[in-house]
Amino acid sequence: MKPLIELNDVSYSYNGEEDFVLKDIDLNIEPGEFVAIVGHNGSGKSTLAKLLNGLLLPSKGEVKVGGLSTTSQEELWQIRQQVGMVFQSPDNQLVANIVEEDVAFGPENLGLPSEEIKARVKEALALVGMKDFARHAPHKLSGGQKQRVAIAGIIAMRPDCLVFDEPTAMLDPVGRKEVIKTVEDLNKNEGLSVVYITHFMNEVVNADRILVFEEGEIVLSGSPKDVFTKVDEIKELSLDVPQVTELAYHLQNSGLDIDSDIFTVNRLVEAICSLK
Amino acid sequence: MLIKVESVTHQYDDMGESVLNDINFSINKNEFISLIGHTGSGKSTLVQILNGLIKPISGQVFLSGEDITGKDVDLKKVRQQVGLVFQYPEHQLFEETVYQDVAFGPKNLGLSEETIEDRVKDSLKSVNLEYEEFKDRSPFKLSGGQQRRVAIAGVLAMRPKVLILDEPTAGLDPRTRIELMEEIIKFKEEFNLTIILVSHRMEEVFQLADRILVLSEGQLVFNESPTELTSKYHQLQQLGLGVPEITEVLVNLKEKGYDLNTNIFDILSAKDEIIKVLRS
Amino acid sequence: MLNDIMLGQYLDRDSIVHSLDPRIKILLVILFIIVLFISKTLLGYAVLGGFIIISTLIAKIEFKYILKSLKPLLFIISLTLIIHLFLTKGGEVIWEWKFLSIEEKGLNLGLFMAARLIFLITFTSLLTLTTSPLELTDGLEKLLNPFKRFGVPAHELAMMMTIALRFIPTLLEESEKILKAQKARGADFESGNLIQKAKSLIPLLVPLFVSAFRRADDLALAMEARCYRGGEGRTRMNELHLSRADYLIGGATAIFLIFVAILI
Repeated sequence: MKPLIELNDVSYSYNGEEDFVLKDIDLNIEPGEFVAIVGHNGSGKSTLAKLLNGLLLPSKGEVKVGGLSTTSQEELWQIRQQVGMVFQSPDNQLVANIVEEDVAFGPENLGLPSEEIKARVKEALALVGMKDFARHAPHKLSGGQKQRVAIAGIIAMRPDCLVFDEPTAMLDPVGRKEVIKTVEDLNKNEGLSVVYITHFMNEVVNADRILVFEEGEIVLSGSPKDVFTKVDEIKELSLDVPQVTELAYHLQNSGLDIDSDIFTVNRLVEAICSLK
Repeated sequence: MLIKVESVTHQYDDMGESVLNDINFSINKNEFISLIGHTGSGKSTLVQILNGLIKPISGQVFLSGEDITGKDVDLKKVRQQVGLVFQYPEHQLFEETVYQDVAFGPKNLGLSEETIEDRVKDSLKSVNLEYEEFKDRSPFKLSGGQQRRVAIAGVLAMRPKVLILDEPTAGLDPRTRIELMEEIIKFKEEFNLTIILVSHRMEEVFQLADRILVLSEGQLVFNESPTELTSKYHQLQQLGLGVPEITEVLVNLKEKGYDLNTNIFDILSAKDEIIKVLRS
Repeated sequence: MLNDIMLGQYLDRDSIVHSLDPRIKILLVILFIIVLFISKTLLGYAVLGGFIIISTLIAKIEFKYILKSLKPLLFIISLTLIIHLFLTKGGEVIWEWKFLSIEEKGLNLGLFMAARLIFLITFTSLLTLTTSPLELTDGLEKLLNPFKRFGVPAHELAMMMTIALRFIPTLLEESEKILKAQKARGADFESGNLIQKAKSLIPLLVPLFVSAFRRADDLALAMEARCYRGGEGRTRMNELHLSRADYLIGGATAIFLIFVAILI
């Protein structure tokens, strides 16, 4: 299958000088794939997100979405419709003061007929579990609910890929769970590609692929199993491994026969119990 | 006893039910207290009552024996003694230079220029910001982590006895978070502080706190040491809260019949404990 | 307070007035104001007053809300009345005490001016009570559209109103938070003279502006990512449609108002 998004030797610099925040990134994102991008602030991960739908254009190299280059002005709007983006701050990405009006904003910009917009808004709100809130005011919702409305606003544009730029950074644990579940459902049930950027490793244990960014480069990549077993390297980068995974890793190193790809408490408990 | 909260109840006018309901607890000097609970459990109301920003509709709060909910209280003095670092404190920065911003609190206290300078120096140092390098820079041109440190230094410069930190690491990347937590532990000793930490991160809370206060729907449901709280693991889970993942592993193993100590909150000790039990 | 700003003073009722197209309502309010200023007779004012009462009844709005809308302007209304009572001279002397006197002309004019203000405010608030801010914005945009060729940025104005409505509550919450944070650092917003008070607002206003700009930046990016490129080619989920009922009710009311202006 042809990749949905292709990055060929992409570099980016904000001031146009040699100061690259992204360096020679080669990356393909396949249809239906869940790609997680983890790294610290300043590692270049947010810049990468903005390159994916032409909010930024590469200083070097090329970004292609469905075969179209993001540098071509005519195709930019098609690219942005295909690659939707959800940002960090739940407050700063909602435009209208009524939930359904906000979800309608994207489809309205696409110039769709009013009946079509209504149908899409309804469907999108149902998909994120917010249909009972259609007539509510956004500022009265919780952070997790606001983020789900933001996601609905993107889904209503019928994209092929959703890019999430630290969508849970400002949420409490309850909101965080709501958003992660919504993202995972959309990926699994609707077959949408997901690029999920986060600081939190434990949010992406179900991803197909994890890329760890540091200083504009991909320093680690692979399935969660591959990545999480490199506990030492991850610790070196001061990133979080789920606590259970780290415990499993240490137990394994002490000579116990325990798998290294354990991400949940229950599995570790089972693994230890089965040692007898 | 440094702080004593007696049957504090509060509600906001526009809502029918209480946000805080008959809260009682006390805090000793130099304790490290953690306050946990869901959004809307009343945490932020409680911490604002502790430094006199909100006056509860009933009940009393004593600070070093003095009732701060009374009529003729010097609120400025209360706020000097109980420092409050809000969530995302960098959003309150406003001065042209880091020095001026940190000096804002001490200036409001009417201190002399020299004292202010000393305090700014000490406070910046305790959050690992080099005084000479940062004092003349604009706070708005710093990184997120540095801005947060400047904001915390601004509260430290008031030299409070109690420092309340409302999710001080929210939104920071893991590296900055780890550094900031280390700084907090360090300056607690340095300034002889009593700390109240509001946090959602159980691994942090259980490792650091002497005592944990658990709020749920306006009620203080638990007020115990991490060790005692671990034994109430199932009740915590029912509230939608929990213990650190590794402690959860130990608790589960114990319930399956392994004879081990569940009061362990860091990974390496947990590993040792599990190995000890398996080999015995 | 947040809610007031959020929804204007909109009251959600099921009435003919509510379902009337916002454009018709805006135009009728403008016409009403013109008639109000043309009309000079007691009968004319009585009819207009009756018109407001009947409209309110049809709109199923309780009178207490109408009266509430007068409250903030009560001072100006009373002032108008008092100034005319005592300062406009002419006609019979009705009441006298030392150097103060009320004469017939003053009483008449005072009552007239007060009634004019009261009618103006109550009828306009009837518009905001029966029309949501969103409808108002849409209505204004449509009404201004023909003036686009004269450089009136109809879409942009409407977009600005929408965004303002969305962000005012957020910024109010934020200012409350900053206020508290500065108070926690010993800031004093209450005491001192006017200049000191104004100066003490700096620690509030600077962070608020910084945050507003940051939000604006974020929002612009989010809007761009959602394919926003101005009003061109944009459609709406809820398009305004003028129905036959709109034309009939609007036309009939307009004829009635013009009749009042010319004949009474």
